[in-house]
Amino acid sequence: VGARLYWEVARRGFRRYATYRGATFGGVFTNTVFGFLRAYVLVALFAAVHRVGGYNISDALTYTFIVQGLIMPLYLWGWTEIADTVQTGQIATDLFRPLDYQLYWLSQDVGRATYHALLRGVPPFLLAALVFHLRLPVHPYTWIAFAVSVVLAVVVSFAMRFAANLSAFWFIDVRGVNTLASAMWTALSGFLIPIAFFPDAARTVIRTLPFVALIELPIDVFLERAVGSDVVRTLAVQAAWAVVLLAAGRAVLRSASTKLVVQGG
Amino acid sequence: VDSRVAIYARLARSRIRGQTQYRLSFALSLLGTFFFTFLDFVTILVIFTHLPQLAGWTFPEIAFLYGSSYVTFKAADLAMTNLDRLPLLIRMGTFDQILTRPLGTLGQVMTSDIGLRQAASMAQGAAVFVYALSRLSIHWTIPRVAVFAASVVSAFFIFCAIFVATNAIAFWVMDAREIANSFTYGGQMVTQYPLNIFGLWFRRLLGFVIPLAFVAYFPALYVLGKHDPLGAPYVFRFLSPAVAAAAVLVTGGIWRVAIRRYRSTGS
Repeated sequence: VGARLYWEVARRGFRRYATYRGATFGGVFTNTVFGFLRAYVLVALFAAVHRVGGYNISDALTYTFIVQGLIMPLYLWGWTEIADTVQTGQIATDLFRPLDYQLYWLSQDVGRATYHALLRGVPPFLLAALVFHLRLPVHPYTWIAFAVSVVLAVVVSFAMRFAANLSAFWFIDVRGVNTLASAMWTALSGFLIPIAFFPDAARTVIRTLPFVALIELPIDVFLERAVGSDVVRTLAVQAAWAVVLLAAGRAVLRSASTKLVVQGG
Repeated sequence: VDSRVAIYARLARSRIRGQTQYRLSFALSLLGTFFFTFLDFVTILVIFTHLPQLAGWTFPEIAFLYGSSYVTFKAADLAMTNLDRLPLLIRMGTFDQILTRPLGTLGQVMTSDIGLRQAASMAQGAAVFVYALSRLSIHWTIPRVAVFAASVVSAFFIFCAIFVATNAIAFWVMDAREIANSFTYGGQMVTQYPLNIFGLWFRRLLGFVIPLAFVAYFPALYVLGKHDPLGAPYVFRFLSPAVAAAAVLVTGGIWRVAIRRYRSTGS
């Protein structure tokens, strides 16, 4: 009974976004334009230097367009759905439902991310491949590993957003916390530019943090910078962060619930 | 006219008061916005750890472009931020209320919310700009000061025009908001880098059809006394005010056509 329920929730999550075709078109357009702008900056960089942090120009451009494709599946900015239910009080009824609150939202989010990965993630990459020389994996198994890695990245992203949203129990206006959190994971995930381009010390510190599980690690898999047992290790690191962050989210939920006061009845 | 300005001012003040009600959240929000927008500069910093010049431009020179582009863009964004809400106003039918009031439609949409967060991103751009000035020994002759001052005002109006024109698309295509972002926020990104790094078609479309080349690139060539790698006519360095005026005129026309086309969504 349980699994079936969450499967349905995920399907709803997928379908909910599938209804906005205009938004999908507009979004693909925008993600592609930004991808091109960022690509030209890298082209200018690689005109002067042939290799940066182990990347050649093709690797760097491929990196950029995967990042552009991951923006929507990872949904890193501005997701306040749970915070909104805290503000309206709707969360009180949601918590009463006979299902696991975190798993419910996770299923919904995985459904949404699946839609966004297929319809928002793939097109910018294909469009860019018409203009730039992008790199595809050599080993067939890399595709599977990459898919798994992206799913894990979505779970890590969800876990972070879940916790950030629950801060609404302590802050009436969550925009501040959300913006700070978004700035942090945008800076430290590899979103801006490959982490490998950062100076040594910064790189070492950033790679001990969970944020690389969002962007750098999946792309390491795609670019086959991680091969063989390194792939397994990369996926294991992501999975570990997913578990730790989901557990942290549950802890936050528990302490938030003790603050919950339901009025009336 | 005086009383009308007073009404807009009062509307604007009430929105600001609304936002500053939750002080801690508001402070965090400003801080977050400051860092978030500064990340664009972090990318540039990281790039310059690998080379001394990007497409013929030094780090302080790009900081100069970045700073002037960010400050003028965010000033325009602050003035225009509510146009983002236009699709929502149309969908909710709220735009009907606006039409019935005895005030200008554009003015009302613009004061429906005041984005103080833009002030934080402006501060970030201003800080980078001050850094650029401290590292560049610009010989500030009177013509340079004049060209620079005129370019700042022009840049503000060009950005405003882009906001209005691209958001007017919402009157035709309801879900098109994201496309507007390509030209507004995307336009800002174009202007924080030297135009000569972009591919030919991007340069033509974003630099000249949408006249972003006149926001920072051409005036900066003049102020910094740089040779133009694109080899555009020298006079382009002085054209920003004329381009801005044209952009505002064209945009006013687009807005009026859009308003005439408007049909309520009902309800």
